[in-house]
Formats: sequence, C-alpha cells, structure tokens
Amino acid sequence: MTKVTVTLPEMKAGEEGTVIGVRGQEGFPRRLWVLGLFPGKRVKKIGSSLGGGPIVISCGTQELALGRGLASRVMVEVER
Amino acid sequence: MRKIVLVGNPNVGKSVIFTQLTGVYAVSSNYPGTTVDFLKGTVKRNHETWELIDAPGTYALSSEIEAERITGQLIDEADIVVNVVDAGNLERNLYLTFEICEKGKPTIVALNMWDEAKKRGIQIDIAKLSEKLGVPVIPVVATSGEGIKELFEALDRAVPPHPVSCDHAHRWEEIGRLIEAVQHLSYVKPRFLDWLGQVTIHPVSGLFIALVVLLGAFLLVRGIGEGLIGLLENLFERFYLPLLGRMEPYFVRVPWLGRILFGELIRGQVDLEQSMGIISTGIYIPFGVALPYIVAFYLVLGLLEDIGYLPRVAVLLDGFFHKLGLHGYTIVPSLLGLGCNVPGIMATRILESETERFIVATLISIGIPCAAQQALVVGALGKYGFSPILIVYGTLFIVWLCWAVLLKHLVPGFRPSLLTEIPPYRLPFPKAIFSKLWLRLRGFLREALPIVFIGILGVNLLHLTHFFSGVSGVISPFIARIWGIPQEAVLFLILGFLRKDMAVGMLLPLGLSVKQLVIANVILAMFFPCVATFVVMLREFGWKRLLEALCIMIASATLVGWILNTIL
Repeated sequence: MTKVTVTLPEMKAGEEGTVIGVRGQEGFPRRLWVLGLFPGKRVKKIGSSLGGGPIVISCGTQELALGRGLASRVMVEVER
Repeated sequence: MRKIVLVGNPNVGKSVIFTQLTGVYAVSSNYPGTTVDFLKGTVKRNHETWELIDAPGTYALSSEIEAERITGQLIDEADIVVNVVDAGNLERNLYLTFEICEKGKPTIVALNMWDEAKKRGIQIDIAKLSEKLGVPVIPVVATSGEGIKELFEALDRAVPPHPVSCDHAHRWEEIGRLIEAVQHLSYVKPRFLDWLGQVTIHPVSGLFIALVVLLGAFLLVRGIGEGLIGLLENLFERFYLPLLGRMEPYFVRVPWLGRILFGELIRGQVDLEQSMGIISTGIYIPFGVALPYIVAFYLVLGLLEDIGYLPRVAVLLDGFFHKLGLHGYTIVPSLLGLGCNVPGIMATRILESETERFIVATLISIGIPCAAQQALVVGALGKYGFSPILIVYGTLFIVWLCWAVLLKHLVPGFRPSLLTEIPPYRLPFPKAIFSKLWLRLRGFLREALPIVFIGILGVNLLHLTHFFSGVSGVISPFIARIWGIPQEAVLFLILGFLRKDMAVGMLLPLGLSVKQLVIANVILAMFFPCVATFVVMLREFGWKRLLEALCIMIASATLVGWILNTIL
C-alpha cells in the first residue's frame, strides 16, 4: 500500500482519502472551507453522475456534490 | 420594535421553527438595494411584541457574498440571535455558530432535528455544548413542535457567548476539539430513508426515479388543478355570472363604461371567457382559470422542496445542464416557471452569476409555458389526441435547447460549477408547506392581478379607439402568410402580450384547424412575455437586457412559426 495523490474525479466510488489541498484562487477554497471540506479532512467518494455530472462525496456527517470543474481541483491522498 | 433573528445554514429547518413561533402568516421582505429576501413575523413576549426575522440560510458571515453580508447586518441590528443548528450535522453547523459568537450578541442555540440525529447514531452532550459555548442550547424537533416552548422560554436566558479566538485559519481545529468533547457517533444500521437517499442519487436508478417523480408531480398538479377548476367553475356560473347579468343593463346609458366593465356581449350575454371586461373576464381568468393550477403547482413543488428532493434532481441533471453552460440548480427556477413565469424569473436569484440569471430568465420566458397557458393548450388541442400537444411541447423544448446552446456561446461570463450539500430526506411538515404556498400565492396575486386589470383596461381603451385593428391591419397580412393562420387570429396573438392564457381562449371560437392551433399556441408561448413577466424582467435586469430578450423572442417566434407552417 502506497500513498497516492489524486483528484476527486480520479477516486474510485467507495474509496476513502484525506484532503491535502485545494487548488484555485481565493474565493473557491473558501467556499469549500466553510462547508467543512478543508485539508486534513477525511472524505469518501460515493459516486458521480452521468454525462460529466457532479461528484458526490461524504464528508463527516454530510453529503456534498461538487461539479467536475471544482472536484478536479480538490487533491486527495488515498492508499492504493 | 425589538428584534429576534433566526440564523442558520440552509436546510436546517429554520423556516419550520419560524412558522412554529409566528404562525402561518409571514411577510416576505427584501433587504433594501439587494436581491436578498427574508421572512418577517411577530411574536409576543411578556406583553411586548417582538419582530422575528428569518435570515437567509448561510454557511458563514463573509462580507463578499451578498446573502452572508446581509445576514451579518441582520445580526448586528438584532437584540437576540437564535442560531438554528442541525443536530445531525453539528460539526459543519458550528462554523457559523463560531462566527455568530464573534458578534457577541445575546444568543441561544436551537439544536434542531434532534430525534433524527439520535436515530442516526449521533449523541450530543447538550449540557457540555452549552457550557463550552456559554449560551443556552435547546434540543428541538421543529416539525413536531417538541422543544419549541422551551426554546421560546429560553429567549429570556439569551446571553453573549464565550469569546472565541479570531484566528480563522485554525477555526476547524477549534471546532474539531469541541466536537471531540460533545459528540459521540455510534454505528446504526442504515434506515429506509438512507437507502432511498442512495438510490435516488445513483446515476442510473436516480435518473429513472427523477423521471417518474416529475411525471407523477405533473399528473398530480393536473388532477388537483382540474378538481379546483371544477369547483370554482360551478361557483362562478351559479353566483357570479347571474350577478353580472343583473348589473349589466344598468350601464346601457353609459355604453363606454359598460364596455370597459363587462366587455363585449356574446350572443347578448356577458361571457366570462370571451367578453374581455374588467369585472367579467378580468376576474374569471386569474381566479377561475389561472389560480387553481397555480395553487396545485405550488403545493406539489413545496412538497418536493421540503422532502429534500430538489437538490438531488439538480445534481443528477447538472451534467446535462453544464453542457448547456448552465447550472444544475437551473431546474428550480425552470420548474417554478411552469407554474407562472414571474416567480420562475424571481427564483433565478438562487443562481450565482448575473449572466446565468439573465440566460435562465430568457429561456424561461421563451420556452417554458406557464400553468395557465398549458391548461388552455391542453384544453384547445386535447380533443385531437396526444400528438398535437406533444408537437407544441416538443417545439418549445427544442427552441429552449437551441437558445441555451447559442447563449452559452454568445453571452460571455463566468459560470460557476455546482457545489451543494445533499440534505437527507425529511418528512414534510404541513404547516410549513401551507405557509409557503400562502406566501407564493399572495405574491402571485399581488404581482399578476393589478397587471391583468390594467391590461384589460388598456385593451378595452385601445379597442374602443380601433388601435388594434389598425395595427393588425398593417402587419397581419404579412404575418398571416408566414405562419399560415387567419388575420383575425393575429390580432389575438398580439393581445397575448397581456395574458397568454386568455389569448388561447380567444382563439378557440375562430375555428382554426389543428395545424393552425398548434402554430398559434407555439407562437403565443414564445413571441412575447406576458405583461407580468415583462415587468419582472424589466425590474430584475433593466431595459437593455429586456430588449435583448425581446429580440430573441420575436425573432425566434417568427422563424419557428414559419418552419412549423412549412413542415407540418
């Protein structure tokens, strides 16, 4: 098992990981930050919608959906 | 008046608590100079009337986002802050709680959906949470009323919270430590609602279920709408029409006034649908035809909203909408537009960028027929079977699609990606649903009714001065040729500016063929917004944007009318 850094769309459904960073300008990481998606947080990918739709993850006791564009800027460390 | 403000994240049941504290009748207000709406009501405390404000749902209190800034201002103006917190999602909710603590106002915390959290295996040490925050924490189940009395009494004990560190960079660590101390999670077997939550967001089964749900919703709206129309029609015919018939002869000596009030007599009698008088057709169409469908529509939509289904539809459809340059949440104003375009366009406020709002509003006014109009389309074409109706809807959908793609390329501007929480399913709370229905209906009557009256008055005046026959005399031979419909029908299509539903009604006695009816209905839906929509577009986007939208509408209606006339 090694640690690999992937983006949210690259995670497999059901896989768990730790957020290590969010790329983007000022406003965007903040939007995730106030929702409780911050570096160090454990997340689990639930799945993604068809046709390039949003990625659904569970994060703490909540479920979040992120559009592809946003999701591909969230870096997650997973064990593979 | 002293003020209490309810502050909390979206989907934490804030409005249910608001309804429980104030009753069904609330007033929707707009914060001056902004597009942010909130609810206002009153409560009696110790023989004193307090104002209760339901602030917009927010995750934080930053100054860059309008809704958050206004919530911050509402807190600054308040005497007591009630922070509504979802017990099932304490950690995320505490972020806002900490920001409220920074304000230092007398505060209490309402820990809502307490029962839900327990069922999901979440235990919260309330005494400890209260001790750490330094304010009373009251567990409530807003939908059943449990804890509401205690919450109300706790207002007396509202105190400024313990100071929190102003270091925002380490805020989550601080919250993490608090969560560690007060929350305990234990494993619970997934329940039916959890399973349903998974199935309805699944890319394949979810889409299928969405289709079934939306179709079911439409059948339900139709069923309820028709039922109500049946009831009202009876009332109108038994009581209102005879009353008009008795009043009408008194106006024989002032024919112009009689003309404006009762309209044209059809076979010597006042006709509710066709006379076009202010107190005949002007009363009948909004109350007898439009209102029943609008009631039915908002009832069903409110139900879907409160169950928590709409975010799922938004997520499922976001991939599709995104290809059109739109946001999954476009579905919400679009669905509202199917009731009446006016609230649909108002609801574009939930979209983040101005560009996107304008595009969605234009798409609504061009491609989404309102409930009243649909009722008449179905009424006019229903007897010819299913396919003419399908052609009308299909054409409108294709036009909608084409313009979405075109506008994506024509209108530059930033289109933010979807970011939403998916709230767990909840059992709906009837009182909150009816309260929302009431607010929306009142909004509709206030927005639409005066315009219908003024519109009919205008039509009657213009008709008396032969203005319309002049205009249609000039342009209708031309239009009639491209669209293949009789010249008299063109006059009514122009009148459609005032009320589209009414124009469809007026086309009926002309004896058009099925093809002509299909074309007339499509054109009527597309070529101009009704007066109410026109006014709202103007108010929300200004003249320049409105003119752009109008050009789009007139040009595409002319083209589509011609295409249909050629190929059908």
